[in-house]
Amino acid sequence: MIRLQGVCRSFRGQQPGDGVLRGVDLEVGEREMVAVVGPSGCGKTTLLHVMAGLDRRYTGTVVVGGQDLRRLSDAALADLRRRRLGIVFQSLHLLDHLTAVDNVALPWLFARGREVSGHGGARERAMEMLRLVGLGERARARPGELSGGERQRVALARALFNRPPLLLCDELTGNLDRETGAVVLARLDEVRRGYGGAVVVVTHDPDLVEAADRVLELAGGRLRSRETGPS
Amino acid sequence: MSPLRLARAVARDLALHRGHLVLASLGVVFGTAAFTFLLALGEGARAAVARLLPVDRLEVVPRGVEVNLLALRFGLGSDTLDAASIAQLESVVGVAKVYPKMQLTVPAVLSGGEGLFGEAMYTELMADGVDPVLVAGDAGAGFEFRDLEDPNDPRYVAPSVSCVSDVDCGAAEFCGEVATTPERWCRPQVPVLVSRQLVDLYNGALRRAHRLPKLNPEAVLGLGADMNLGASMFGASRGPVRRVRLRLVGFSDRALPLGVTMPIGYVRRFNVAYGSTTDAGRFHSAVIEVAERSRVAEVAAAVRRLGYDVTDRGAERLTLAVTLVELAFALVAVVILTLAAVHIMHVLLLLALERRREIGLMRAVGARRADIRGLILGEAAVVGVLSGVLAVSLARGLGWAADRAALRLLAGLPFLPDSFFAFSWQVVLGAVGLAVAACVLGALLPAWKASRPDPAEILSGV
Repeated sequence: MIRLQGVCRSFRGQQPGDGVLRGVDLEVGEREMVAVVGPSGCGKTTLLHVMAGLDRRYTGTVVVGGQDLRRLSDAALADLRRRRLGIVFQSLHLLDHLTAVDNVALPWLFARGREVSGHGGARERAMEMLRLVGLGERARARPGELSGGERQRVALARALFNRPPLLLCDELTGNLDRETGAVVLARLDEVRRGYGGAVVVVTHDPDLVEAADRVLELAGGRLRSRETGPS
Repeated sequence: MSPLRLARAVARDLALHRGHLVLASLGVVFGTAAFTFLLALGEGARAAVARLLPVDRLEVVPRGVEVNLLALRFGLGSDTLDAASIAQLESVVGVAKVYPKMQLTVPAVLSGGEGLFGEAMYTELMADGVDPVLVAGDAGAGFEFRDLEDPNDPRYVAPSVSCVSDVDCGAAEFCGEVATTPERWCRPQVPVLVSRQLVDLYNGALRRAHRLPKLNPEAVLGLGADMNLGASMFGASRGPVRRVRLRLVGFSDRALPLGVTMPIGYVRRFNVAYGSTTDAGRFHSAVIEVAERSRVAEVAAAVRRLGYDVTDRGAERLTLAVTLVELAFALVAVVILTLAAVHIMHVLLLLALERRREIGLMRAVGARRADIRGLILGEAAVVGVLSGVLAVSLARGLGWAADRAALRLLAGLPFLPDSFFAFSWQVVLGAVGLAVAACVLGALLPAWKASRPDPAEILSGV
């Protein structure tokens, strides 16, 4: 589903050899759930942005669904993000002026051709996603009226809107108490089983780590395997 | 992004950011309003000039050589046009039609006005004759301007009622001689047109000098006065004096400025009756109708090359002056609009900065750079349309107020138009188009800048 080979990323003032990513190799297959762990500031979010094609200032190769991101034009990359990727940001990035259902349906605005039928179809699908994460009753609420857990689930519903084959989540349960985190995790598991997509989660949450098929640790700019706990 | 989705997103964003956008549009509204106001003023001035001095028509006269001898000036050569001259003028490229004009070469005194002023007024009368087609549409409602005594006209009715005085005849008739015979018959009154400038002059200055009442131009249509052909207030009369009753049937900007204009057939018959048969084919000028306004100068030059003069009634120079003033107005308006575009660019740049996170998110969920640019430019275009409509309304309101103020301040001046402004559909469309252009041009840089950064740069604040 996604393959990274020798990916390096350094920021201004860093030597290429001292960058935040120093030759990351990774391959995630269909239906697989991979957790990436590591200390704060080790580059987990950067890795996720590179995988999503949001950050193109890397060296190495990133291939998503058979397409090398470096070879894609900006427009093609945008289309790939819309069709094949779902992203849950650590800061969620919900738009305060939109209701939950409109936040979820945001990707529809930029859909092309027959990706999603009219506005009614988009709302229907957004409602379906909200019900999937257990927020069908809160569709008309704005982010300011939702709890932290509910906002997290709205962000998850938005990421799932286009039923993407690859879901990238940054600290999906990081800001949640254990109980709410468990609810979100349960929903994610349902979704994964329902759609069969691959999931990469960057997390500190032991429960999420426990649920993953594979756990990788990012340290010193490189990924290395870590054994998962009992599942 | 489909146009429908773009429209939906634009509508939503306009509602959300209306405060900023109202602020951004203020400059465009005032700039476009100034543009519309000035342009409509220029168009109004042009229309007023065209009304007073029709610029698609040239008046052509024979070119003569004149010799001054002390206080007198003598003309050498002919000072009239004949049928051959008219045919020659008709052959000039760009000429649509030639209308010969004939001056009344018989002295005449106009008398009448008892009903209006309480006593009869007398004045030396100047008159000319034109083809009724030239002034078609200038006769008032219910009146007609044509030669009622043209035997070649199928509508002609020969006089059949003999009379002694006007009371023996119908309301629109008078009792007069036919040709040179002494018998008198009931004849139709001669329809005449007068110039609006004449009415303005009378109402503005003449009536004050003579302490006469002001005239309502619409109410004097149908009134009559006597033209005493052959009589003169300047010297001895010429030939027998014959009374002809004139009837005012309308106002025309093409009528003789200080006199009356009648169908050319009457003037021809009067000139022949008091002169010779050759006078029937002697015209004193001809009005050339130019096919296209843009070819006026070209036609005028061709006519001059043929040995004729084009009388300069100031039309060309005044039109040039109006054009220059319009250009100056347009320049001022363009400067204002440029400043407005810079202003809207500044506000939209700030707005784009404020919406950075939202734009980054849109890019992350699949918006192309072109989508972001389309969104911002679409918003700018809608703001432009709304600003343009508002600006045109504002300009119209200002124009109305300016008209009211000017008409109050300048009351009594002759030649005042009904309005100093002409808000033609071209001006209105141009104004809205310019407002849209200013907004869209102002939004180009913000749209480009907003769409450039990588989403990660925005969302992670790198």
